[in-house]
Order: sequence, then structure tokens, then C-alpha cells
Amino acid sequence: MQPIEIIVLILAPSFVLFILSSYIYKRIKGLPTGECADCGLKKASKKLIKYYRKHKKEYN
Amino acid sequence: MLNFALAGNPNSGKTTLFNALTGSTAHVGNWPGVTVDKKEGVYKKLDENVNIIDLPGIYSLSPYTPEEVISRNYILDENPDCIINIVDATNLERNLYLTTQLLEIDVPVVVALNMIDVVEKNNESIDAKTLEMKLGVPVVSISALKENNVDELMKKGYEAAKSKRKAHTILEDTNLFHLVNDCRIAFEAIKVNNPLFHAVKLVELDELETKDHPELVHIVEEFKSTFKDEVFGSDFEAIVADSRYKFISKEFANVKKTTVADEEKVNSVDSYSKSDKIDKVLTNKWAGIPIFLVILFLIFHLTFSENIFWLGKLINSDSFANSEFFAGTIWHEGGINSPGVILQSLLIGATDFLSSVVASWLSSSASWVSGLIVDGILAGIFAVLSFLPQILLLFLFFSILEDSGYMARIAFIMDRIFRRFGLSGRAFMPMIMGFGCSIPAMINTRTLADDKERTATIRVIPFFSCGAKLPILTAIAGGIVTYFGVGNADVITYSMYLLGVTIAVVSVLLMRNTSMRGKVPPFIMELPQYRMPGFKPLMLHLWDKLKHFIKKAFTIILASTIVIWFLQSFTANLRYIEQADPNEIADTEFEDLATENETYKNALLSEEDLEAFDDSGELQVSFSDVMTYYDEIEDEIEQGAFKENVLTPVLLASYDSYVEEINDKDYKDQNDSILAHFGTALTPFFTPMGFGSQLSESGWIFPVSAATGLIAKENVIATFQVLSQASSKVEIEEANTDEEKINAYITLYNIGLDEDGVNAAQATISSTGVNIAGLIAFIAFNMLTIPCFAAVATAKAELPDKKIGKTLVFWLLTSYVVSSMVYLIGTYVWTIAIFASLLAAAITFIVIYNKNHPVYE
Repeated sequence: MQPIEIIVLILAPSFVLFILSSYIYKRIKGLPTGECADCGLKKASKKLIKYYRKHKKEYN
Repeated sequence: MLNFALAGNPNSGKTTLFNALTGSTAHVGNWPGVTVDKKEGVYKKLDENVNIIDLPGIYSLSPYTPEEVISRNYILDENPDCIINIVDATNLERNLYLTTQLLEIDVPVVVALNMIDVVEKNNESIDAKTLEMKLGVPVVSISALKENNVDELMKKGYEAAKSKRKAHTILEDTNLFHLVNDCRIAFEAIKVNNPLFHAVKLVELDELETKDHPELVHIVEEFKSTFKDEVFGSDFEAIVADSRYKFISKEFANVKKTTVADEEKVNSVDSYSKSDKIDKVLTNKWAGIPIFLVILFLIFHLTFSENIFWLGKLINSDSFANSEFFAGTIWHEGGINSPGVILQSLLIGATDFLSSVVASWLSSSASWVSGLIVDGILAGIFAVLSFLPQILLLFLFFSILEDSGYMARIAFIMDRIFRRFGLSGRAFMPMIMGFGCSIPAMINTRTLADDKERTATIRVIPFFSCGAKLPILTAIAGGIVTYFGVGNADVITYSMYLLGVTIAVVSVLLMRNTSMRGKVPPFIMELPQYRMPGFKPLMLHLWDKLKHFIKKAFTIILASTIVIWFLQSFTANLRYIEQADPNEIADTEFEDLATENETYKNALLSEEDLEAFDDSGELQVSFSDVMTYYDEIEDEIEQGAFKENVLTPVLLASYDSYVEEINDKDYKDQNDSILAHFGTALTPFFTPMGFGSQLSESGWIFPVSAATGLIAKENVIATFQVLSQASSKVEIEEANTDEEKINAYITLYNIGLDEDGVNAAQATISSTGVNIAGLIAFIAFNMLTIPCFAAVATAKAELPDKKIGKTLVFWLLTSYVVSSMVYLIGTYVWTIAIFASLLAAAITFIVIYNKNHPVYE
């Protein structure tokens, strides 16, 4: 097997698993998944998470 | 850290100021209801950082709408250190109503007179000092758009926040003040914060107030029994409102002054403001909607047209520089490309170059590696990215319409029409947002107070095709034009957008006359002044959109293309499908002939210019070089001889090898893949829509592409491209004579060489046997069906309980019925009579039923 084959064989499934598992994790934890443009940006989503944690009682 | 809240009427410039202060890229719109939830940011230019909260736009602190409740609760419960009340200086009296209410709260207030530049442009001025004296709080004139004086505003706010402020009310000179004072004392006794505000609200018998403090209501009721106003009787809420407006009119009548010497010119009946003059045309009763449709068409024309302003007939090869760059990118035989198409062509050129570099780099590696990377990943991602210029351009145009103030007018015009269908113009705004993305559009329906109106609006928002559906529209429309030679891409795209709007209107009509009958809520909206959109906010919007799109492409879509490639490249028993490659077969046959057949070798050597062999006698050209050489021969006789001696032997041998390979009982192609099995199982359901069982063996590509759209709508075209690239292409045409075999193989060979995938897509369309009606039905299905998972999740969150199930059924049913109608009418025109009869029967039934079962509210 050539090196490129090994690299692709490892990277491709790893990437798919990573995307799927991080999506499922965010859904379970109620975190922004980034599908919507408003929370898709890292900076905005971090602020949202911070605000949610600070005002958790209101939401519960 | 200090907390400052931005409060003010819709369209007063709160979010513009928020962006200016925090450097954030919060969305700015020019019609009410854009800011629905709170936004937070930090201002860092003072001695300590200040947290800025952008509250929703409100006209008062009454409890009638969700935005008012959010703002009121925030101010009363969160105790911000200062409220910055943004007042639209061009509309002082209306904006000051909220100010008079804010002054009744024990919180420092600073008034920001925004849009002062517009006031000055209208040859007017506002006496900020007098305003400050009368209100009793600092007043700062600013322009949030031009960022004038905003730092000064924050300094005043900071100074105000450092000292306490005692609330006061403008009702001190009214008959109700005694009652207000009694209530205030009662609230102070039970240690309620902001007693004056609560006292005034109690006097108005405010819903929230009476619910929270029922024990104090008797104070108001007792007073009510002995009080009567000449005009309003004992309606205290009306009396309080009237008092506020009287106060504002009396005290602030002279605050705004004109600076133009010739007052007659200003006072003349004909001196409308610029906005009014423009409105006379754009909101005209008869011309308003046609003008809107023309503007919309212009937007699509500038984005998608390949024959801009129909100048095609003026073009000939001598008109423009005869270079490869101009030809194809900027113009072609059919006409001049629109800006959207030019940008797209440039991007496609770049991605094609990248693909060819990667393909040549991987040419010596295993076929599955180059298959995954080139035909899977790159084909899928670049298919989606190629539409980025047009998506951004469309988004730019809509943002310009929004920021200029025109969109607010559209809502106003549409109200007249929408009302007949059971919606107010207010519902039009979230729908228009749906052209960008369904998710913020659905969230924006929180501005609709009526639950039925809100549910109906959320259900039809996906019918306004979002940016993600644009690649489907454009690619299929382009395919129809290129393959069938029918119509223009921009006209087809525009028509499909209009179809979505029409289906939305019909759906709402149906819902509001069947399951959601009820009165249409009133619609009151302030029309903002027209203004030139700011360059910086527009560019910030585009940048945000670009970042999000690219992030989505390299995460969700990339993962999807890898999965799709795997499913269509392996059989059920995980055997890799090594498809017959016509280019590879031709190259092999050419090499064999060139090295083993002396006659053939001599034929090659006789073509000195071809330089087929090097000095040591090694073959140094490929079959594609030979094909290129053949195309460059100018002399017809020479060309004919070359074809007979050099091309024909290779093509005939290749044809036989290819047919032998694909007829081998062990040969597998894409139709044996895992994905094909899933797709084939789905095809019967799509038969009424024209892309189901009636198609050939490879017709499953359409249902599978549609299904992958549930993850992200961009996936539809990415999937289509991946499947087209890797398919065993056109089934090689049956050939009996040598001439037929040669022509069939040349066609197959050229498809294999096709770098930009256009021929592959066309070959796929051709091989499946789908007709124009089927393709349009495919577009309609994808436009109207269940949107992406993210939009479904948002709909579930925004809809009242247990309505998501019915909504999903609604989407499926609508897309199924409409697509079937499109296909059946397009293929069998006479079916229009059947559908018309069914529609007439349904309408008659609904009308009679509604007449016999009226709804009382």
C-alpha cells in the first residue's frame, strides 16, 4: 500500500466520524451546532454559551 | 463590569449603534422586527469595559408584544447601570413617548438623538440643550451610521451610571397624579423596586401589574368609582397615553427648528421630503407591485443571466478581444455574461485548475484514492462552492433593498394583498428573510402576535427558496438550457422563485380558510426614511455569509460527499466498483498498437510534427495528445488520412475492449452500489413527479440527491455531481458499423475528458431519460419539501406544541402534489383540465362549509 492510500484511509473516515460525533455531542448538550449563520461563527457561539450558563436559572 | 441597555423604537438605529460601539456584526435591517432577541457586546474605550445589551425595538413598555415584555423585564429585573434611549431625531414626537415611560424608572437614562445628520440634511436642527432641560436627563446628538459622537454618548452614559437617578413622571400636572402618588406610596411600603413605574402601570390597570399585585388593584378601583374624564371616561390607560402625547406636543414643539431662511419654500405644499417623493412612485396603489416584480427580476438577471440585457445579437468575435479569458468568462456566442456568471466562471476556472493538478498528482496512485479525492471530495465541494459568487451577489442585492428602506415599503404594499389571504404585511418580512435562510426567518416570526398567523407563516417560509437551494435551481436550470436548448437560465430561475411565492400564498389561503380560520390582526408600521446603505455594514454582512458558507462546505458537505462516494463506490458485499474508464482503455490500446504493431508504428512515424517517439524510440505521447493533434490539422485530406491510419484502429479496438469489459458477468458499475439499492427502493415514490420508475436503470440518482438535501440543501447538487462524475457515463451507444463504433467511442472519450463536469451532468441527464417537465418537477420538489434538519429543528422550537408533526406532513404533501402537477401538466397538457376541476370543487366545498360554519371571535 502506498503512503497516500494509508493517509486517505485513516483521514477520510476519521473526519466523517469527527463531524458526526461533534454534531451529536452539541445536540445532546444543547450547544450551538453552527448550522444557522447567526451562531455559526465561533466568537458569537462562545458568547451565547457564556450567556446561557450565566442565566441558566431563567431558562430552567 | 457596567451594563448599558440600548432601548428605543424599531428603526431608530439601535443595532447600528450597537455595531458601532461593539464592533460586532449583528444583523442590521431597516424594518421592524429584525432584532428579536437580546444581543450583547463590549465597549472598551472607557476606564472600565461596558457590557452593551441591544434590546428589541419597542414603542412602549406595555405588555402587548413579546419584544415589549422582553425589554420591560430586562430593564426592571436586570437593573442596568444606564439606559441609552435611542431616539430617531427625524421622528421626535413619536419616539419620545417611550422616553417619557423610561423616565419613570429609577435608572440613569441618556437620550441619544440619532440620525442627526439626516435632520441637518433636511435643513433642520434640534435644540439638544432645551431637550435636556425639559427631560431632566443628558441628551447627546449622534449619527450611529457615521459613528459621529458615539464616544461622547458613552462618556455621558458612564458619568450618569456613576450617580443614582430618581424617577419622575410627566403626569405630575394631570388629574391622575394624586392616584399615581398613592399607588407609589403603596409600592414603597411593600418594598418594590421602581415604585413610580409600577404605580403608573397599576393606574393603567396594566395586565402584568394587576397579575403581580392584585392586592393593590383596589386603590385604583376605588378612585375609578369617583373619577370621570370628559373624553375618555374612566379609561385610565387612554388618559395616561393622551397625557403623554399632550406633554410631548406642548413641551417639544419648538425644539426642532428649520435652518433654511426661505420658510415659504419649506412650508409649501409641494415640498415633500425625498422619501415621500420616492414613495409616491414605489408605493403607488397600481404601480407598486409591478415595480417590485421588475426590481426582483433585475436582481435575478444581474445574477444569473448569460445574455445580459439581451445584447447577444450585438456580439460577434470582432467586437471583443479575441482571447480565451474574455471568451467564455465574460462573453460567449450567446451574449455577455452577467456579473454573477462572470464571477462564477472565474471561480470555476480556478477550481478546475486545482482539480486537474490534483488529478495529475494522483494519476499513479490507486484508482480508489483518486476516485475519492477527485471524483468525490473535490467534485462535490467545488460543485457547491461554484455557486458562492451568485449566492453572495443575491444576498448583497437583498441587503441593499433591506438597508435602503425599500423592504419596509414592500411589507406595506403586500399588506393590502396579504390581508385577503389571511395574513398581515407583518408576516411578509420573515418570508422575505427566507430568501436568505429559513432559520432566522422562522425565529423572526416571534414578531407575529397571532398564533395561527405565526404557524401559517412558519409553514410557508421554506417555500421562499433559501440561498442553499440556489445551486439546485441554477444547476438544473442551466442543464435544461444547455441540454434541451430551451429557455434562459435566469428566466427559469426567476420563474421557480415566483412558483415558490405563489405556492406559499395558495397554502396560506388554504390554511386560513380551513384549519386556521380567524381574523387577520391589524398591521401598523412606521415607514423609515430612505437612506443610502452603508458600505461597511454591507461588506460585514457579506463577509459573515461567506465565512459561514465556506465553513459549512468544508464540514457538513465535505463529510456528506465522502459518505456518498463510499456508498456509490462499493457494492453490498464491500467490493470496490472499478468502472471501465474509456480514456484509460483508449490509452492502453494506443500504447499496445504503437509498440507492437509495425504498420501502426510507421503510420505514427510518418506524422513528423506529432513527434510520437523520442530519439531512443520510446513512445512519448498519449492518445489524448493524438486527439488534440487531429483537431489541429487544417487540411481536410490530411485530417481524413490521419483519422483512418491513426485514430480508427485505436477507437475500434477500444470500443471492442470496452464492450467486452462491461458485458463481463463479473463487471460491476454504479447501479450495483449500496446507494443504488437505496435509491432504487425510493424511485417508485417519485414516479408521479417524473423522476421515478419511468427513468432508466440509473434514474435513482434523482431521489438519492433529493434525500441528501435533508442534511443540507447544498448537498443535492454536490451529490448529483459526485454521482455524475463517477457513473459509467452514457451507456455506450449500440453500434453495428465501424463508423458508428468510432462515433460512439469518441463521445464516450470526450465525456471522460470533461474537466468541469458539465458533460458528465448532461450525460447523466441523457442516460436517465428524464424530460424537461421532470427536471422542473425535481426543482419544485426540492424547493417545497422538508427543509434541512436545522430548519426543521428551528420550526419545532418556534411552533406551538405538537404542530411539528402536522407541519412535516404539510411540507411533504405540498411538494409531492405540486411536483406531480408540474410533471403531469408539463408532459400531458390535457391533465390541466382535471386539476382545474378538482380545484374548483375544493374551493366550492370550502366556501359552502365556511358559510355554514362561521367562526366567531
